[in-house]
Amino acid sequence: MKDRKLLIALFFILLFSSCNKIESSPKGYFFPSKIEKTISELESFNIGSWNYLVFPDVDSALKACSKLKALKDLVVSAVCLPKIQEYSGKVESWLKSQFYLFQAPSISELINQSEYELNKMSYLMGSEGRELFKLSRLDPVDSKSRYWKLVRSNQFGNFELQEGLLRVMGSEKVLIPIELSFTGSEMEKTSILVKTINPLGGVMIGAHQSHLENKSQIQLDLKTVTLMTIALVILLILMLIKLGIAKALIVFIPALISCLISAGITIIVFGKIHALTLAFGVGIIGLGVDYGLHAFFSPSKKQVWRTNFYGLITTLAVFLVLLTSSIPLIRQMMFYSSIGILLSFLITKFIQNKVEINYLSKLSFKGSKLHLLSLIVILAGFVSIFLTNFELGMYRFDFIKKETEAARSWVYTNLGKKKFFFKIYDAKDKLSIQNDYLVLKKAEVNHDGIYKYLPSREDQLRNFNSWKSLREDLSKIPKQSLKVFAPFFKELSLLDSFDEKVTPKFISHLEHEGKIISMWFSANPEQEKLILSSILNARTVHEIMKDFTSMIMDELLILGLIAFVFIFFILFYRYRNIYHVISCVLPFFFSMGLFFLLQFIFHFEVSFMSIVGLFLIYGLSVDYGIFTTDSFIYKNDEADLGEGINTGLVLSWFSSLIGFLPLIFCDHNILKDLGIVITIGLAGVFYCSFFIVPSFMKWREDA
Amino acid sequence: MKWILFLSIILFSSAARSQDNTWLTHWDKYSKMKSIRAKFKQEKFLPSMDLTLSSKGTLYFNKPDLLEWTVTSGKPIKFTIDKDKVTLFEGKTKKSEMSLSKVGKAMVGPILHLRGWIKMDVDFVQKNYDVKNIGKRLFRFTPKDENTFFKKIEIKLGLSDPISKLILFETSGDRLSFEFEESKITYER
Repeated sequence: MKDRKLLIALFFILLFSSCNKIESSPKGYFFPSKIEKTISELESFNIGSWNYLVFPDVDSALKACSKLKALKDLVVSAVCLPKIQEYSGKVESWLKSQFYLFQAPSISELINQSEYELNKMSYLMGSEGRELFKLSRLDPVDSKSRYWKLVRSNQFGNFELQEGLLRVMGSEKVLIPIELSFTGSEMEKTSILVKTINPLGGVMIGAHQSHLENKSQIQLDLKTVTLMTIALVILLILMLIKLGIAKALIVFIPALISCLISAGITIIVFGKIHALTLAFGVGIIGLGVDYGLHAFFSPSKKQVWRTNFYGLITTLAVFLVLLTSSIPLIRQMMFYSSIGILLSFLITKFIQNKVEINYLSKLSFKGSKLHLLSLIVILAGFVSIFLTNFELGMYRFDFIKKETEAARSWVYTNLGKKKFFFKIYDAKDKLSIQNDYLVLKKAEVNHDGIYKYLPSREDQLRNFNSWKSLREDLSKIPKQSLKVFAPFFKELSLLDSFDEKVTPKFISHLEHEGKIISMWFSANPEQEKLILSSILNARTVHEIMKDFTSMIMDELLILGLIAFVFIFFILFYRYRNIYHVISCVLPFFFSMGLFFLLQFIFHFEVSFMSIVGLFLIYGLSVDYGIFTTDSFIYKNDEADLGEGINTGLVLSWFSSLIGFLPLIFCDHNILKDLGIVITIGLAGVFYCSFFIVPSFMKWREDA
Repeated sequence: MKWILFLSIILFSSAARSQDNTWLTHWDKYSKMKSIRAKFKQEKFLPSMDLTLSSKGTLYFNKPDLLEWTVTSGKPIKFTIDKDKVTLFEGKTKKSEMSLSKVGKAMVGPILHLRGWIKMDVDFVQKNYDVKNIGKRLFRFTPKDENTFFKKIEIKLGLSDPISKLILFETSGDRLSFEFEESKITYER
């Protein structure tokens, strides 16, 4: 009794400790380590902390602007009603670095220019003017206008500041770019922002919004899935009660326990478990229940567990082969699934002797050679594969609401930045950074990089020395200028030895922990080609994703073939008969053929998750193939297994359907795609296992 | 009773001073003004930085919207606001030009506000300020709205000039004073 309580307590501890171990962000899960490293490096630069807010009109934007500026802990800066104070840190850093940036003027030029600047300062009034006045005291030669020019160059495309708000000619809409103080994974903070702007009709777009919108949608979808699953489970229970076999429900217990233990072990091994891995739990329950129902409805336990064993190892073969995937999420899913299915098998086998179900099935599916004609679906499906447009881009992973999509399209079209290329360098590799900058300097490609602001090291040294030399003539400067520009002259007097180690604040967005980023924004396909041909290893996020999807497809194809070879040998070892082996794999090929044929007819999307779903069908369908093949082979043995097995299989098929059917009602593409492929696959498995395979076996027997 | 009489005299005399509309009578002469050009001497005092900037130049206003503010001492510069266009000249070289809407009200707001004074817009002044006579031809204008650019403005009416001295007290504590002379005025026909 004590042991039981301890076990229950252990489960609850495991369950509740899991709650804060559930991850929903793609970070660290979706990409192989090399791609993850590139993406993490890119995200580490604070360029990723910029998001965009779109408002329907000026009034709502103005209201939002004051609210955003009050959220100082979250919003570093918001480009609305801009104030000098928001930029003074960077301008000050630029002015304090000017001795490195420009050649010193002659003393007479300095005197002349400082008199102009002195007179300009007389115009400055109000809080803004006062702030500018402070900066101007560091700037007797008007260096800051060079900074404004660099910063403003083609920064916002078609957008222009009108009354302090970024707008496009002829549109009522307003754009407010915001720099956030936190990362996209801190979704509760993003949520505060979204709740602030939503009542004003504002829409947020960017990395932070994407994190939040995806998580919210997955949570919403999982609620839908849970509710529908509960409804379907109740339906199943009622059906079992009506048939007088409610005891069969016990098979769900090992599957549920296995899922929990597997989740716990996955957390121990991986540190956290991804929500999508957990979503696979329903599949594991489905597969685990298959073995139980198969066994409980079978009069010959010995034979059925032999069949179950081969079902298990062929499924495990798929999981274990995919465990070598370079994608962490797939590795975690397969680890979780392997442990789950193995435990489910063992626990079900352990309890099966304690439950007796004596049920004489009235369900029976008779074979007919006419069903074999349906095998043409396999051929048609294979032809359809070549006509299918695979949408393997990562955008299917990114859930976007319709209003967000419209706002995103408007913003990026008007920003005029067709593609964003970047290259990350070691900070010591200044020569490469400079060479890459110079090679495209004349081509007028919109660029942001340290050499847009900084001269070469040699020029910096020359500039530095020229300012040092100027100090000898300072006695010629009028007293008034010396007093007004005292902060400038103080900085000048502090010049000692040349030091380029410290990254000035005005380019801090381009440097992070010993790495430097250079960015190019192509405005047209010609510039795109030019960038690619001129800058070695310049990448776009889109290209990284494209490489990733093509890599993952190659990987899945290879791993799929390896898994198939494994399964083939396992089955051949068991049956020593090629037709029996074909019979076992028929449900998979039929399901796949059916999926691609329906895709050809209805044109639904085939995404990366569809391919993952096909692998799940791969593992599941072979089980059904084995079960039905065995039921035919061993039907004349000591016990007549045929009809009893069919009842168990129909129930287990229904239990699998319960797990996956609700997914097709999800709005998030990844869940929906998975739901569609598995639902169609299960339909194919059902028809093929209960009609085609018996017909095939009968045909072979007759032959 | 004597005390009440005495108190009444003081109160009435002070009320009379605070409601002194001499400035209105004085400015009324210029109600048909088309343009004004005046020389000025300017002093900008920043107590927190212990700085005083002195300059001189000319101010020109032509109804309805053109304002030219030229500093002629040292290296000459000119700042103009013409309708929506803001321009800065260094000597005769146009240094920068942009739309008023792009500069942002916070930056040019005080100058736009000042335009109301330079064109002697009585409605503008009465709408935004409470007036108190604090000396001979000397008036203090206190903003009705606390969130404005200036804490107070003091104006001394000239004998031959509409304004002989204008002192702007900024909310930061900075102070800007103009002394005007040789005002040339043209009138609408």
